[in-house]
Amino acid sequence: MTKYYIKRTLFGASLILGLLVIIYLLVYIAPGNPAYVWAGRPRGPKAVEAIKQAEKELGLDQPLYVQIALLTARFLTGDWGVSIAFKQPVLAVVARSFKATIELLTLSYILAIPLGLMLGIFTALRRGSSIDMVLKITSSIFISIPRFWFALILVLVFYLAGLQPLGRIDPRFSIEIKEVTGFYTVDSALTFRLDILLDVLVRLTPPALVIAVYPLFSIARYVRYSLSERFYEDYVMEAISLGISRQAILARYALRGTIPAVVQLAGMNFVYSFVEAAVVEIIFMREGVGRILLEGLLRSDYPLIVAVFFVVSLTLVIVNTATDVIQKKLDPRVKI
Amino acid sequence: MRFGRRLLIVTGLVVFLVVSISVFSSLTYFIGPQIRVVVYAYRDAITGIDPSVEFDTGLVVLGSVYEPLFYYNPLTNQFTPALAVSWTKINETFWVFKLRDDVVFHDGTPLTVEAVRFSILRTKVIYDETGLGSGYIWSSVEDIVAINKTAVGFKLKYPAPIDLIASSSYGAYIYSPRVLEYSGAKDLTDKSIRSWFESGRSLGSGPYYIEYYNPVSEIRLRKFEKWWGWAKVGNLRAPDLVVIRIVGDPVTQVVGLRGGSIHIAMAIPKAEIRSLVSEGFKLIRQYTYYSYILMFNTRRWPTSATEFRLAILHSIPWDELIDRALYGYGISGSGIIPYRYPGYIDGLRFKYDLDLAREYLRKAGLEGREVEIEIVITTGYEEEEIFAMLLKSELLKLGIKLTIRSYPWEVVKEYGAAVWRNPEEAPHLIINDWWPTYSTPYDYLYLVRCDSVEWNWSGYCSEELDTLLDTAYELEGVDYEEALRLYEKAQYMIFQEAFAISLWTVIQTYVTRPNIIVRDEAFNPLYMYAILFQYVEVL
Repeated sequence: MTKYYIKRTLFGASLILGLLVIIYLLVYIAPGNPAYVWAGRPRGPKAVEAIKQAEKELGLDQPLYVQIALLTARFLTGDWGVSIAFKQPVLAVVARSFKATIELLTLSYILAIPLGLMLGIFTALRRGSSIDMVLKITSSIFISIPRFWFALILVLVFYLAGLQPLGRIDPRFSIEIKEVTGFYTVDSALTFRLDILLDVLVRLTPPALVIAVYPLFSIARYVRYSLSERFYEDYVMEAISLGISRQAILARYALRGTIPAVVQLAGMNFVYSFVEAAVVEIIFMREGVGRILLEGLLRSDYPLIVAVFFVVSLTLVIVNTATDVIQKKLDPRVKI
Repeated sequence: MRFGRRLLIVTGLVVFLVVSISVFSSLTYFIGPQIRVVVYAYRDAITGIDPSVEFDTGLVVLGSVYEPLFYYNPLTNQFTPALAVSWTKINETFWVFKLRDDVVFHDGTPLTVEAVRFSILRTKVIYDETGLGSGYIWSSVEDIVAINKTAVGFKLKYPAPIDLIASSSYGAYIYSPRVLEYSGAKDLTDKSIRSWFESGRSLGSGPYYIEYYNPVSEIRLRKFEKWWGWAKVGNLRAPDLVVIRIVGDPVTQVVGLRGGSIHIAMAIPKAEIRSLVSEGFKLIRQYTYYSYILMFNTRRWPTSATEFRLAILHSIPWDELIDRALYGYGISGSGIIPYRYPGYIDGLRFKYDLDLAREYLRKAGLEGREVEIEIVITTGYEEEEIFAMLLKSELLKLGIKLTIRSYPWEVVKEYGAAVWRNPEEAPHLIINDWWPTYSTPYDYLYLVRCDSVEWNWSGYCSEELDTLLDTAYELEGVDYEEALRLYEKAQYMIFQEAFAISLWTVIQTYVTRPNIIVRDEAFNPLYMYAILFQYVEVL
């Protein structure tokens, strides 16, 4: 196991390092001038001087390889610099947004994994029936549905129900909540503010549902397919012939072989969900990593862009490692 | 089957739980803390909140947090006292401003002469040393001196209209010099002051202070109870909390407005306005000086030929432009300076005349030849897109193929400025949207100077024009009428050369929920998106 962790750490580090360089190169060749943004759209007789000064401050007057070396060194020493567009420390901008996105994705997967499993088992037990057919069509529709459209529909539905789905928190509560962790659900629970907790959950649920759609139905489809296969395997047939109850066969044998792959699937989807979060955060007027990435790209804010990719890829490595370890725990046959 | 039923029950319970939580939460919403809240949906992220440095969208926040010495409205040609109550021009180069004596900053410290001196000099020095911000507006100031406890003197290097400059929308905000102490800065140019401000703190004297600052998504402003002006404004229904929410997507602004998450929206699609008004929402029309200026690349063939530029200008369906591109929410451009702004001239317009356009094309030697040109517009600017489409169809009638390229604003700017270093890389036509810093015609005409290489996207350079503008600018503090006459002359020169023309000036539309009253004083005509929330009533 130790060998695995060392291997994973080395692989993760090289992946992230390579990614930093590639992202920087892409930003470098893309149109837009970070120095101009840093100088704050200068006017007047000193406009040109302001841009030159900004280039110097940002190190953009150095050769490309020096710029990359400086950026990498700064990142590794924890100095992520200041956001060119928003003039705040990148670490603070990313941390604040990352918490909001993680809160959103956590609820999405709290909804997606159990519901996906339940739906998968339910349809596997009724494969070929009309309910199975309806759910199959439904899952195809939901997987391919444009997320922005689904998000807008959910906003309208919540409005019709008299609920406020936009924003992270009711403005009136925003001045009352005591920030302890930066996760509003946790903070409101810690301070025993049920009213704030409920408000936060109501605003969190619709965007979480939009993000949950893809993992939910992909898990459901996989579980249905996997269980259907397993129901015809010899060990299941034998268990049936021995008179073991249907629930016991499902829980102890068939499902047990399916769960490790579900963990892997959820892990892979989790990273993809960061992309979906970008769209969802904009429509639901929420702060988050996806949103700052988009704003950063529009403004050539390379410290912010590189930092977001760094954090997301670090999450990817951690989630993948965690899913490998969980899979290994659940299925001793798996070698890592 | 029993297991399946259990699954169904569990699923049903989950759904029931979610619905219950939602219903309960909606009930608690109505019995939640009762304070007056207004949510303003603004289109762009905030680029900074240092009152001495910020030169872009930060004004949306700064406008309610900081105050200048005066406000000036060019529409009515009236000054409104802010931190100063009166002023006296002692001679051409010395002005005295009398300050209010009941003003305190957000940290409780009083307004002093030193605060005025510190704020303005910091703005000026930062610009002089780095080129950041709008400190150039104070270039005429030699020193700021204390006359007594509440009177401050401005000693000038050369005559300048310091009353107009002091009411600038950018770079004229006053704040407490205690920022030095709070930020641990050594002197007024220390970068730690900027970091202190940008971390979301405020030290102004305005009716609101910053409570939460996330420039990408949300800014919250709290009512400052000690603001000197509450009794004067007489608004008992002013918001206790202002939320400036960044909502870039116009459709989301509509949805938010209808649902109640947004109270004031500034980027509603024009086509939606009528239906919202019929549903009971209120429409506010604000006259602005926000102009869209069409610029021709004079360093690239064929727009380098004046006759060709005139051919294009006579192909624009000017009479339809406002209705089609802005759905009526705009005023036709004339010359460069916008309608009702100092230096505006009526009648500097071209007419839609395809025969005349063909004549100019013949003179340029391009009649009957295949000509391809390109225009760069800003992504997401609906009016620019419609204009480009209209122009494209008209130019096709002349045999000119127009390629439309759309980019984010930062990229548009880079293409515009490319005219100086590589004219072939710059587009033939480009639209520059522009608004003033303080009320001077020079602010618009600066766009055509030879040394304005970051903003003069036409690449046109005339020493004669530059000299005329410099003379007019210098005369502003001595003989304003003569200065205006020279600015007019400059506009005629630009019109004859036909390398830049204002397409239109925007009438900014705000749509509000029925329970919101926005008084006329809430708007600053110099910057169209900043609302002074002390003049907003929440019913």
